Amino acid sequence: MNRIWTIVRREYLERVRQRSFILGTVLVPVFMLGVTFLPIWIASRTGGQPVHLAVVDWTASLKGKLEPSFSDSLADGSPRFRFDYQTIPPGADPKTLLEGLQKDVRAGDYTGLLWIPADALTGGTVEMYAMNAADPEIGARVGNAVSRAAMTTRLVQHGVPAAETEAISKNVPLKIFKLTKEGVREGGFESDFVGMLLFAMILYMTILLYGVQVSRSILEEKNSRIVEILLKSARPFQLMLGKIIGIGAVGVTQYAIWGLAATAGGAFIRGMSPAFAQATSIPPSMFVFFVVYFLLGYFLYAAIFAAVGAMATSEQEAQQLQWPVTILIIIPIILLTMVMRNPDGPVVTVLSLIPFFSSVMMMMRINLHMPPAWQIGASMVILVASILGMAALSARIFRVGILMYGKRPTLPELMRWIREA
Amino acid sequence: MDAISVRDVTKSFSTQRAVDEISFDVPEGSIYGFLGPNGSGKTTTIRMILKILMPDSGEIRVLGKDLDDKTSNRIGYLPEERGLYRSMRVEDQLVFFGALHGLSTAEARRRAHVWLERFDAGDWAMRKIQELSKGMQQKVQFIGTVIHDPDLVILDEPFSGLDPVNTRLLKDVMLELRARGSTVIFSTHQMEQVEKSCDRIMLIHKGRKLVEGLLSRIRQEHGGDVVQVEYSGELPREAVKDLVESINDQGQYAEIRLRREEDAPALLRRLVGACDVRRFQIAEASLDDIFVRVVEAAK
Repeated sequence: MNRIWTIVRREYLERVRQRSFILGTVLVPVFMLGVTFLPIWIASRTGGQPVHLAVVDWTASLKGKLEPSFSDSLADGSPRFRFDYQTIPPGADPKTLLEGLQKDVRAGDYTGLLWIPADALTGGTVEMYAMNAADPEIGARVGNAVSRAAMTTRLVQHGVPAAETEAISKNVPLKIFKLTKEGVREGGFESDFVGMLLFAMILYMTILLYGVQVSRSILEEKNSRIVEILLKSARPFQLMLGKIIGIGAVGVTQYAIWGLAATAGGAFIRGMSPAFAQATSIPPSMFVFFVVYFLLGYFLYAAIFAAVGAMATSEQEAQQLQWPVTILIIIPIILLTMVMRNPDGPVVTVLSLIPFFSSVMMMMRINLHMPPAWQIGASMVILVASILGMAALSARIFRVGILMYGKRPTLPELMRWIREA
Repeated sequence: MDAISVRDVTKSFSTQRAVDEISFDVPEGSIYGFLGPNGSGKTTTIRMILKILMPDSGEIRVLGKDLDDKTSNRIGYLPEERGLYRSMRVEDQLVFFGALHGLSTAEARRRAHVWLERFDAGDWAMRKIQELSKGMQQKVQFIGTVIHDPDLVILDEPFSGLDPVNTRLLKDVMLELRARGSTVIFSTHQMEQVEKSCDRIMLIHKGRKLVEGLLSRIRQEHGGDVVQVEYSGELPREAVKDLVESINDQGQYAEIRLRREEDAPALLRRLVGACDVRRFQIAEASLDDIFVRVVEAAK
């Protein structure tokens, strides 16, 4: 026990003292916050990029009716959305006109082109051309504005006084509330999404990062032959356990620092902007789940990475062997949209019970929509069982591999190690 | 009592037999050499003594018992291709080695400084291993091996790659350990290292024990038929052909192995007639010679 402790302590202290640990601890949250909040912050401050649309209105009745739908302004106070209603020369060829304006959009003279056909008021389709079709917000809002303009025009045609059309066509605002087990929370689902993304990414990154460190640390000892001195004093399993615990403790320390920083930061934000703080607040129970799933996921992958480190004879070989393991860790991140769309679907439920995906998948689901308690319990039981199984398997590979220099084992050799050990 | 007692130990790796039915005893307080060419089974034997590897069959007792954690704390081990944690500081590294062998952190730190001072290396305590020269790293490695004041020290090829200063230092440490009653075992393929410092040796070849025992007795048994000659002029090879088994002639100096020990006076008479003999000495066989002969005899 003393020796495991000695190994744990060395592993822990050496890592915590390293510059890379301190840098990582500081930079990861900065990076995460940057990625998550910077775009929102920029958007809220500048009111977004200016949008300048060329409008070709074949109905000749919508001029000036689009602007009232847009109230946002740029930093200098000018309106963000500007519409250039094109004068259509008599006898103009629509095709030539369209192509000419498309060229202007390509040249960057306009953000986009709005093509309103003559039958737009009687069921025709309005077309929008833009270089950047990816901004769904602009598309949706422009479409909505055209609809409103068309509606007011139709109302006037049906004899409604123009002064009343504004009130009649007014949009109905929608506010979203999140229904939780405990009650109702305003602010919708942004915080769930942000929380999920944050937790899933950090979980994935740290499991991978610390798992790889286990593998590298074992390889270092193997290549420098320190392992023989260690093996003289400790059994292989003690050595493996000591390394995994020591490196895991570094991870937990990092989380503790982040947790404290987040708490302090949260208090600060609450002071500055209570509404924002509420929309993005993360319940403390989430942190508990987070640490538990980190430890379970980490122990499972650390056991695999320990075997990888013991098998490899060089850094390059280790990297090749790490590949398949890394892919296993990434899979839940690839399936992120699927989980978001349907966190309780059968496929996601099954996947989140497979130990290799469990940690990250469950953490995503817990953030989006709390899964039934039995599923959380089952995922943890399965993870613990898998960790024990994997540790037993890895210990066998580790025991033989750690003293094998010069050559990486072939698959049949590996099977023999596992059988014979 | 014997520091180590090995009985009929065998170890195979897949199809290859690395150690084959080896038995030997290392008396307490001796300096004991394992000799043999690379790949002869020295390292495997050492690893089995330390329980890094398990023998397929046979029995090993260390310091009077089956090696357990407590006994293991009384052993110092220097592996063949030794290593240190490159990015670790010297002091931390030594404290770690000490703690692995049951020392408290404070005691390990105190001893680390005593040793570093002794090796004129007190200034390096806070330096990282990777900043040290190879010779300095070797010193740190010795200290790590003996910091817990072991009763039994096992050194695997300790002299390979050492500069002359460190070679002498290591020999001093070995003698000092013996003087304190500790047992020192080391393996080497360089016979001349053994000749100068070992009480007892074992010759291993292809996993089998060839010769084992007191070095002086082995010399007696296998020596006596080699003559060292210093001369000038030309060695009369033809004239002595019938007396001589082999000649290792270096121009001014020759080692001549006789067919029969009692022919030495006859050889001297014939040499004196043909060249200018400055020295003629019946020598103990070198271990190199003994080794070659024993291997040939075993074939």
